[in-house]
Amino acid sequence: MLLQNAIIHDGLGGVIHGGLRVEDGLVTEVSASLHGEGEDLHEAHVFPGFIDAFSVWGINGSMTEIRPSSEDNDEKSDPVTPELDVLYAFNGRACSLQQLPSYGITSACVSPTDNNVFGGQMAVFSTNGVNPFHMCLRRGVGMKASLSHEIKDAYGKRGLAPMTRMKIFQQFTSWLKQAKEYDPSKEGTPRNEKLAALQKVVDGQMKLFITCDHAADRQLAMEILREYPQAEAVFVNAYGLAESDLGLAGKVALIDGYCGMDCDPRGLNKDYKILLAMADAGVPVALSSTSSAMFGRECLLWEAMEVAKSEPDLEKVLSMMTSVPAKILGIDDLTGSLQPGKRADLVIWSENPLTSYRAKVVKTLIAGEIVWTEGDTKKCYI
Amino acid sequence: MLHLKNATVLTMAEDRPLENCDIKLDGGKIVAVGPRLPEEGEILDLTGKYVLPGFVDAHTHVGGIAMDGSLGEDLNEMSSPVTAELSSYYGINPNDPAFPHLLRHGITTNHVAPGSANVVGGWTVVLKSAGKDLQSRVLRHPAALKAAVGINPKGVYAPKFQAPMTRMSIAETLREYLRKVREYMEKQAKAEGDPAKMPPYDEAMEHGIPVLRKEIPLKVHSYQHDMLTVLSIAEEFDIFVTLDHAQGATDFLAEISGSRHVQGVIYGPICMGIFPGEGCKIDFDTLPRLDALGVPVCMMTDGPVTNAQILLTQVGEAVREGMDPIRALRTITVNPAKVIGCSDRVGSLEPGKDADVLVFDALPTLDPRARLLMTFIDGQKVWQA
Repeated sequence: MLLQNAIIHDGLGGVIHGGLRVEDGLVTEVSASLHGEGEDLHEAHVFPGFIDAFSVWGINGSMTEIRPSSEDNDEKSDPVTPELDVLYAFNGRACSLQQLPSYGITSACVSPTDNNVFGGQMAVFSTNGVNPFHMCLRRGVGMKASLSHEIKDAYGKRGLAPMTRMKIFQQFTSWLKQAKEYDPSKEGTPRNEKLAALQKVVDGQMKLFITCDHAADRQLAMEILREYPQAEAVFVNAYGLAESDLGLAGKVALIDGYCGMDCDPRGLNKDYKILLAMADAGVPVALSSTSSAMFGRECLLWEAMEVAKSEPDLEKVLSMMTSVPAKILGIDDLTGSLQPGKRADLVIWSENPLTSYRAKVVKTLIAGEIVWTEGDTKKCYI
Repeated sequence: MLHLKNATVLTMAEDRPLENCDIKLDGGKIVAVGPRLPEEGEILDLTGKYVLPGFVDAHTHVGGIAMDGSLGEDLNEMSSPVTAELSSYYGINPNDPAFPHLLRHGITTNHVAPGSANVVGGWTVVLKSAGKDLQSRVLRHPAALKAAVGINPKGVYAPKFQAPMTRMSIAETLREYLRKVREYMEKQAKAEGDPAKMPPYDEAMEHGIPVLRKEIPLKVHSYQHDMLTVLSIAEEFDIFVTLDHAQGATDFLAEISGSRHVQGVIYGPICMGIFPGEGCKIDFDTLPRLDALGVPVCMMTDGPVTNAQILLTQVGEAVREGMDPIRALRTITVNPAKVIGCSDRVGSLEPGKDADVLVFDALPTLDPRARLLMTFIDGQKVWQA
């Protein structure tokens, strides 16, 4: 497939007017001088497929099952479940049904909830398909942790620990410490899958994604993580951004989610100037469709539009939903930019959606396959 | 006197923007709109800026569901499925932080309704987002009688094994209430002013009278086929209704546009994935399609459930579905003003109307980057970027 006469945004900051060749599911050529027997895009905009850096797409549970149950990424029997893997929760059809490619989203990181101090391992999926094991681009991309008040609601209200922030932080700290000391090769040490999973975090083999309620949580988490110089932290949710967050530069990454509810005061009046100052100072900043309960397929783009109100460099905003999340999630060898050798995950918009509400998705490709075309029927659940 | 000079003005009384246009505000009202008005009072040069009417949110619960959680929730009286005797006027904390927050997003007028826990929830009230006190901020009370069909009343009463547990029972509960109001009115008429023959005063019945007199609409939380239930009941009792939330309306365009009873469709909020149940269809194209059929369409936030900025963003999504950006602006200005019965005061920039004015740096229903620079209510600057 050859797409030509297009405005091609590579996701890394570059823009060319030219063509792009797709072969065997991969981008094989991107060039200003690419001509031939191809499809004329009449200067439509081609972007790398958007990556939803943090989501619960594809998760079934109480709203979608015939019996009262739990969401499949929400194991509230134990606040420390690092051994669990979200791959076993992901339902391909539940994700595909949402038609994320209709807004340009071609891959999504799916995570355990914020209700456990250590919730389990995250994975990245393609947003089109049925078989989770085929859709999975990479598993174990991160360990989900939480220091937020949701844990108190999940356990404290049942009379269980943690009931307080003190206990949340104590569990967070002591499990990391035990994981550091865990040595199953030592005579008499019982096998412990929780510690084995967390050991990957303290060894720096798996990033630690931490949800926080405000800036002070992030400061405390950094103080605790000083004991583990190899651990790499990614903060999830840009709640309560403050000047102190500028000090995180060079140490962490940040995933900023759309805040859909005004009755969740944590999301109010987000300071995008601080968010952008963090990005300028070198904090990788990625965007996601959600920071709380309410979100839809539109919300990743909506968050990018909010950022674009304060950031004139639109390629930088674009990178926050393409190359930066790819890097944070460790899938940048596969996708997230339009370069030869990368998967042909791309979206063609009639105009740049950050500059006009008239912009429409013309086509979305996942690994070279057309998965959305303008005019396709938007589905209904029932 | 505040003289806003040389802006692109979308009065919404006209279909096109007025370039190089001035507006004068005095005594809380708009006193003049036009090009090159003689300079007087405080001058504010708005060259290159866009001036719009303050946004009108036709369906919210701001002030009645504490934004910071401190005072709890005051708009869902879940002790009985019919609480027509109530009014949201008494459930609002005028000092809730939700109100100043709205000013950052251009929402100046709010139609605050009881929640949808009950089949009949009570009267609604229209009030400004800022002002001296609650009383002076109110534009209209009552503006509608709130009702709800579907999952919300079911979700409250079914777990208690109380009626209404089903949509069958919800429809009957609503019809029975309206029958009783009709009987009450008949008894009152028969009494011919004789206090001895009057039925005992009943606040719940009194609150239904303006609905049956078609002075205010029944404002009904309704999705999908529940909207047809509402149209049927509206026909049976010959009342006006608004269809609120209205997801799935694209399945019933002819039925909605063909009804003599629909005063407006108030759409949204869309901030969810596609899930089972009444909100399972996401159809922003409802707005351009019903608009083309002559139905007054409005966008809502349902705030503070969803955030205030979503009002404008959702209108943008209607533009993406083919609606003209200026036409789409009607869904948060003149259309809701008319639907909630306040078009004499708000929704457009015309001499005599309230000086509720927004200043943007671009056309916000076309350019997602457009930033709100100033918000005026009753001629007072209540927010500045």
